Amino acid sequence: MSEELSPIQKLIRLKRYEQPPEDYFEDFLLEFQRRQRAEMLQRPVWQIAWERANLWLEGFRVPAFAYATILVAALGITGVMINSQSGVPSASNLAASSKSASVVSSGTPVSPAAMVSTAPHSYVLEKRPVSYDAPFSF
Amino acid sequence: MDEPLEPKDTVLVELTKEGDASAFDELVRRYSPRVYGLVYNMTSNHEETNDLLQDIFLKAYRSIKGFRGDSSFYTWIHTIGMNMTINFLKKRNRRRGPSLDDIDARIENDPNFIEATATTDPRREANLSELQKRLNEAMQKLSHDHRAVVTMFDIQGMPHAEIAKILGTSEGTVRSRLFYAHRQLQNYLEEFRGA
Repeated sequence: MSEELSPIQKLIRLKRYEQPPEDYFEDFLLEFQRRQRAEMLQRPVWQIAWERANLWLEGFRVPAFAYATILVAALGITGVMINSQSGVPSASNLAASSKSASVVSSGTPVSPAAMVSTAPHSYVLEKRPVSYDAPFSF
Repeated sequence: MDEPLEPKDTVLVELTKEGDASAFDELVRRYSPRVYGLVYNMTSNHEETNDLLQDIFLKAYRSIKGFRGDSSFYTWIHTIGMNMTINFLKKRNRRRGPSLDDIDARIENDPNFIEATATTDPRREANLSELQKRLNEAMQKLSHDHRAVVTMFDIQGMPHAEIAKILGTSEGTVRSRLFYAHRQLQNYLEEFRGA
């Protein structure tokens, strides 16, 4: 150090002579080992299992682009799923809905083309139920 | 006959990560005296230093897998040591305030200290104990941040850049804290200055 020490610094430097007894650090290490080993034995089972699982996984060499590829694939699948739920209904959905409409409605069935063009769907019922007609007419 | 080369810290760290506890023992052996000095000069109490030192090395052992080697092990263990010591001091101050009665008196019997302060002036010899007491009192009056830079720079002889890394601050801040701390200590120890 090229800087000259001030008297106050010389005085403070004397504190470096405050050292523990010589055998202190050997005893310290023994105490440390005792605590370290005790702590290792007291670890919960889940922690040991987690560490072993991590070690096992570390054995696999994952290619550099694997995580990016998985992320892109996950985003793509999510996008497709969102589109299929909120977009134009597919042909099979239309067929199913037209069939159910013709079964439920007793009036004039609505064609699939009309269902696509007119929304929301509406069903026209007979003004007078069939059961009201006279059973026999002579 | 040449002495066998000691393994580097990086090798010992890697061995520890692989589960070799004896490699970490060697790191403890290497750095416990330095970290002891750091903690002791912050707390001025041997018993507290001993407990804290155990906790510091246990914490380092537990978190060694997260040590990526961006800094040296020396810097890393000092950073853990300093953070834990400052947290401990904050809690202690809240609990009971800093006790100046805890200060060790062993220095009076240290031959290096006696030699360094030896003089024919009987008055000064009589003041040895008082000097040590005042010195520790003055250190305890500094804020934690100021005491930390004085401990690392003046007592442990670390360079400014290393201290800045450990405290996570700039070299300029370290220098300004040192300047301010020296001025404060000068005021506290005025009667011993230049004696």
